[in-house]
Amino acid sequence: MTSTQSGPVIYVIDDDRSMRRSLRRLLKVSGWHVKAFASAEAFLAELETLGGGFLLVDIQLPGITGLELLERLQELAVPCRVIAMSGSSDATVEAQALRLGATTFLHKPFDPRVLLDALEQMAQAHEKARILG
Amino acid sequence: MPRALLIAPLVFAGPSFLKFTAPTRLAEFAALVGLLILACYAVFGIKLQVPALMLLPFVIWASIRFGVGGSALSALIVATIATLATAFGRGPFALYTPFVNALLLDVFFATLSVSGLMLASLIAEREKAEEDHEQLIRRQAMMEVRLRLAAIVESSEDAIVGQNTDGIITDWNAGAARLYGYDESEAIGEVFSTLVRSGEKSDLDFTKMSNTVSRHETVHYRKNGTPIEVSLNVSPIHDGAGRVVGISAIAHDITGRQRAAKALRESEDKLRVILNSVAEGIFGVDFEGRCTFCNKASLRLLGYDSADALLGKHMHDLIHHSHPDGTPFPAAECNHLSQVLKTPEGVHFEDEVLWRADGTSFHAELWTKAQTQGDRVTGAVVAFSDITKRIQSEENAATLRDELAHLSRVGMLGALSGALAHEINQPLAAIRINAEAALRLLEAQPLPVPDLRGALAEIRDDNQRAGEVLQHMRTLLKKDTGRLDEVEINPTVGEVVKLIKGNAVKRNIAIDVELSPWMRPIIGDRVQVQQVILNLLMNACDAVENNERSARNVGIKTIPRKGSMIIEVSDTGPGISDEQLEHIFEPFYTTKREGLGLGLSICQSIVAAHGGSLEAVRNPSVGMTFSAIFPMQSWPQDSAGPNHARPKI
Repeated sequence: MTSTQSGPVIYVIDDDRSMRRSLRRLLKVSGWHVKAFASAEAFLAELETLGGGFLLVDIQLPGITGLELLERLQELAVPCRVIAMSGSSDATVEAQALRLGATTFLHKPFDPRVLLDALEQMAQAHEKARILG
Repeated sequence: MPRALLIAPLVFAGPSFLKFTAPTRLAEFAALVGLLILACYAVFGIKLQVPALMLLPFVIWASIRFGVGGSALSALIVATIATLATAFGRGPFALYTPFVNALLLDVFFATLSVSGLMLASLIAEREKAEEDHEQLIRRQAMMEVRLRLAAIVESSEDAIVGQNTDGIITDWNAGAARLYGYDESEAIGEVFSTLVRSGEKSDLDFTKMSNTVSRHETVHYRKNGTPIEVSLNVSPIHDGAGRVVGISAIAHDITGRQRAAKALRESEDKLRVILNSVAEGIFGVDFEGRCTFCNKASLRLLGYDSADALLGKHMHDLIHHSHPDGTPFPAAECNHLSQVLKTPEGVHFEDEVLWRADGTSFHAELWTKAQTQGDRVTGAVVAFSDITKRIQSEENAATLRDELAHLSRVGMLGALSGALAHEINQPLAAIRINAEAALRLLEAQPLPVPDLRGALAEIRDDNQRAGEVLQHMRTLLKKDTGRLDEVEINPTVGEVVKLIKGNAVKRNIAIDVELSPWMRPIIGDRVQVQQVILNLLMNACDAVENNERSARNVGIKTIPRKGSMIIEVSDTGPGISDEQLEHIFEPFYTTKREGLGLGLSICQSIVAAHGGSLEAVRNPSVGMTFSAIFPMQSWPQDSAGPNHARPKI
């Protein structure tokens, strides 16, 4: 993934329309670039064309689930920072997500400020890595 | 000699000539004698020259009317007067010499008495001949009567036996020969009571009999030894002088009658035993509703000590006098009896309230049947039983089933809780994010109004979304479910699909929903209908859970049919065996590792309570299809609309 824009893009993958629309609104007003997908399949289809960014993915997706997407990305060796979200509290799912590379796991309905903080931290780490790199 | 002719007939006729049977005869006789004496005076007393033969008509009159005696007496009177007149020198016979006079007198006498007597005897002869003839005719008639009587006796079905005073048989008709088996020649001369081995010798003892006929029933024996029950009429035979000269016995075979009577008695006894041994109360009423009989159970159930309290009484007034709520129920308003009397096949009353003697009441089920004699309805028989306990246990069972259905719903929601939390968390998360976004948008200059409006609109919509899910859950969790209402099938299916969708997505199950636009509302309990849909969908999801991911398909379809609305849930799971299919609707039968096996049995009772049926079939290719068939119903007659009592499941 290569960044073509000033900041990293946040790729939102959630089958819920309300979630996609609200996240897009919040992230935009907070200064992030956002691209939203309704399914993992849609995201994977455009994967080649996408620039670098962070992944904000719902675990419970119809078809390819969030966890399967993370597995797939590992297999494809796509370096990607991930924040996972879930509407249901399932400890094993959370553990699996973290094992598959998610840095943060958010339980809906989460505090949006926690999300923004996490993104900020990820951006700083990203920046540090880029400078160090 | 002529004088002998005058006297002798009188002597012979004796006193009998004076026998006058009627006063008119006596008067006629007196007139005759008077006129004769007058005529004699005319002939002998005055000198009128009247011929002596003028007296002859009087003698002839006496002869004709009074026979020989009358003739002789009149002749004697004439002779006496003529003799005396002649002796005194008067009359026609005193004209000549004494010798000539005497001769003429004699000739006159002879003429008088001979002609009188001849005439009298001729008349007497004729009368006698007539009498003989009449007697002959009478005797013939009598003979004919006797012959007829004999024929009657002979042809009688009954045994008719004549005996003399010693009891020895003198007459033995064909009926007797048939009844006893002895023919006439064997019987005549035997002693009747010995011959038929009559138990009571006095039966035939004429000396103990009065003049009246004695009638009684006894046992006689045939020639072949078999006993016969007979009704015996014994009467004395009198002779002309009223003396008893024999006995007639008429024996009528009543063996058959006795047997029938005995059989009737036995069957009556048997019936009474049956009537009194059954648990149901049974009583009979006449066509006016008065009690004609009642068994012991009816007394026990109605709280009476003796049948006398019921017999002859109007049963409506005794046991049906009030409505269930205690208000009076006059007999004139009760059409039960008339309904029963005109329904030959009987009437069944499922739930009636009957009243006991002590004023308490109970629920009873009644079976009735009209009683007929020929074409005429004479009354009815009523059988009833106390169903209080049954109603109570039915109510208890209904309550239990309701509770079970509720538990089942709670259980299903529990199983769905993860997915349901997801359904609620999703809009809640979006709301929070939009709220945060809105707050940040307020910081911007100029104010991005369209964006703010969009955030707030989405907050409003998501809030509603979350509320709806909660509302559906709350409805399903409520113990007292809704009431009868018009239930639109398609929206109901939609709501349930919404509830289960999260769970299905999580399990990678595709739910294919196909709603017909031609569905019409059914009358039912919305929550119960939802429960059925939810249960069928959850079962279908469970069935496909272990399939390949691409083969986890569940379909729900709504189909309108003539008279009914169908909700069809199909899956592509492994299906079940024929044997399992047989038991699938039984409670506590399950093919799952978890679960009580109550879901489908509850669903079935819910659909049945709506007047429909739940059917399960194996799909031709793979999986199962369950069809809940709800009939299109109209509102119950006594209900104006919704909120009527809900269906009991």
